Amino acid sequence: MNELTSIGLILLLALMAGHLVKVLRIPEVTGYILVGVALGPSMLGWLSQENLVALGVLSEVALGLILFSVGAVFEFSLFRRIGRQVFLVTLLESSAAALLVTGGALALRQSWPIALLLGAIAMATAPASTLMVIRECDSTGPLTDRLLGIIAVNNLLCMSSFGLAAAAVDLVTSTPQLATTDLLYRSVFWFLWQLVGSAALGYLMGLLLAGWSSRVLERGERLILLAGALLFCVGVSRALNLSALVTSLAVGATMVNLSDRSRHLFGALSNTDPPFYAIFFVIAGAELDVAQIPAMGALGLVYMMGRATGKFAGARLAGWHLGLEPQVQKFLGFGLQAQAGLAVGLTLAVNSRYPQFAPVVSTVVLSSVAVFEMIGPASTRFALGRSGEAGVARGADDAAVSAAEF
Amino acid sequence: VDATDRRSPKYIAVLAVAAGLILAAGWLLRPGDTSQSPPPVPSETELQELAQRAQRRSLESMAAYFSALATDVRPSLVSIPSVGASGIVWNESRVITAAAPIPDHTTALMVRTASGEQRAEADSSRRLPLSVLKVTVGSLARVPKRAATPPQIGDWVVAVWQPDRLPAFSATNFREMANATCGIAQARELVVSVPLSRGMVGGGIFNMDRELVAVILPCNDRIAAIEPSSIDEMLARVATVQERVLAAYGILFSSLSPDERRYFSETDGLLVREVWMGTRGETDRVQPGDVVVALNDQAVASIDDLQPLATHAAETFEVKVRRGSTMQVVVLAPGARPAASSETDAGVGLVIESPRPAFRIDSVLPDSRAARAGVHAGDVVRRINGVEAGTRAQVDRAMRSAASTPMLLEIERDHRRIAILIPERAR
Repeated sequence: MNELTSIGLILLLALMAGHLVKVLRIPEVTGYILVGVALGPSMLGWLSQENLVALGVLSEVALGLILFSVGAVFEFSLFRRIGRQVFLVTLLESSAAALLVTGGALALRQSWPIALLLGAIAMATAPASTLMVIRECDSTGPLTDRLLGIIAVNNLLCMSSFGLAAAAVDLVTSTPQLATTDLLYRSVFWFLWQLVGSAALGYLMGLLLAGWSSRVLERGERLILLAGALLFCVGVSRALNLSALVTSLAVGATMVNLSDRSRHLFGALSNTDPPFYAIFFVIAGAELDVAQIPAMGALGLVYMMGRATGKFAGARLAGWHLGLEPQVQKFLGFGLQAQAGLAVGLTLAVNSRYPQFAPVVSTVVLSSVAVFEMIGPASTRFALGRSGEAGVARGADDAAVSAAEF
Repeated sequence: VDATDRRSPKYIAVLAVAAGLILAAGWLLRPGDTSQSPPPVPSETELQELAQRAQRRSLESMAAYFSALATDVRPSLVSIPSVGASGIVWNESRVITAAAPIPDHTTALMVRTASGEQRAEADSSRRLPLSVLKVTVGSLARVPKRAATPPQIGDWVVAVWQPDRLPAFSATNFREMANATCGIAQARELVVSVPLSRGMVGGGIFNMDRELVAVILPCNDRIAAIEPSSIDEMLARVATVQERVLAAYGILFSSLSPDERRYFSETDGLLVREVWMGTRGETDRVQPGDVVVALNDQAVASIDDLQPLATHAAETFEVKVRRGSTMQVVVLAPGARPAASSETDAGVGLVIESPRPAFRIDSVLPDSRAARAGVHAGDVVRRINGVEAGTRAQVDRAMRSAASTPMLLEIERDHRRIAILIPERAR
């Protein structure tokens, strides 16, 4: 199949599946992902591995757009209000997940580098699907705000932890050919570079965007500006080995703080980007290797249980400690289950850096991602619906259901 | 830091410069490409394993190559299922195979070619290692291309044979050319590095260009690969006796098939299969259907025994033949003229034939015994079981009795008198 045919097919089938799953009260995102799973190499094979590589560009752009939107959560006044809570909740839920997974893996007699790497990867929560469910439900409220903040901070925290875990593994498993200091420098440099360097690039791009957007008034032109800046930003991050994820987040954060017009920009974005998101999630689904799920074994089950429990318990504990609203305490954990791109990306990093641990880590992470990515959006939607934050416009039926069930 | 502060140009500029510095410093301080570090040195066992894997792959691809070659040359081969031997297609209608498994005398066989089964007549020579199978209907699939030059020492050659449905091949190396004695003939032999077995007899040896370089034949007590040109010479020796006798006397002799042996109660001897009209043979009163048992008191068993007839055509020969139930001696004399069987009108110089009753065969049922024996529509019946076909009643009676017993027909076709034995109905 050539690329245009596959893009067209992806969009049409995604739309169809989105409608179908709505009947089942499952988020559209899950429908898109299921379409991807069905079309992908692990099932029907209509989307080949080459198609996926070619469409990867679109997927990166979509991720850039998504994180740009997530970055808006760092708006100064909002963040000053909820920032401390968000940090604490994120720290607790991520650490709990990491601790449980690492401990479980060690209990299953895995070597400690594998346990450590799995723990770091388990911290990740997928920003894209969570944001999409929030949008689909038109959700607003304390739970929604905190969820957005948590997924933004969570990804930074997860990357940092992975960087530290990798540095520790490097130090201990170093081969005599490389000097220890050199090795340490390498691992620490890349970890800092991906966080700080990406943030710096994002800030500069955000500055450019904010300065320029005050002179661009027309809606179409604003879109061109935004698309150009984001594409450029993702491209430069790639060229400099920076993290496109952190860069886009930083662009969004800079924009929202420097320009009063940023609300218009974000508004313009949400009117035009759905096709990108559909492609993004279908591709994400196609890349899920559902055939791996039965192969996950005991370690995979422990990973999934540990991560899910850690996120629930951590969020609950933090919420109770901070005295958050009861519905936030109760449902925050449900919103944090999705796991996708970042976990897969970190697994790829494990593959190239530690081939000796790669078979175990990729089997466990890829199989559990396949499960979490399909369950996560539904779980998030459940959280938003039950907490009563799902919007009246699109989530009316959900609200009715929740009311009836309570 | 409050809202006014973070929007102040100074603050923004400081942050921008810091960001730029971070990017520049990071880019400058980035560690070199990890691939520059020396790759791990593979261990001795890893290297051995790699080498073995590579060798195995090359052997597998070699075997696949030879197998493809054997498949390519298969249309040049036939199998003879009744004797379990292979044969090499020699030209459009002839197949060469070993003499040993083929019954010693002319016999009908089925040969299986790439396109299907075909009926063939065998003519073997006791003094040569080979038999020639002549396909009676249609032509053969593909004549193998012969190599112009023998292979170089050490060259790969592939022996291919097909005794039954499954083809077989064996790749080997050419070693040298040698001289061999096969029966009465001298031949050039191709020596290869694997021993040739009896099962390969009748197969061919091909070079990498799929050209025939030798035919595998029994040579006295062993199996040898004989060059095609040597086989041509042998064939010439066999062909000349039969063909030169035909040219000199107008008589076509051939060995007896098993049916014919039973019919004539002769185990040896040669059948006078055709007598061409207006030739010496007809003058000398040799009849189709005669079985030659001796030539000048020398017993005759194969075509080769007629060598004197071919080489000394100017001499007179006494030929002892069995005709019907009697033994007769026919004299083949030089210089005889066609018999004046007709009245001559000296004045005009015309020879006028008297009218004779003739029974022309109107049609032959396809795949009937007669058709398989070689009777054609349009043939004229001259004798039935040695008796002149004089009246209609005689012919009808003979036909009826032939329903269960074999029948020897003498027919006339294209100025030839031909003996055809219609064998008993197969049981």
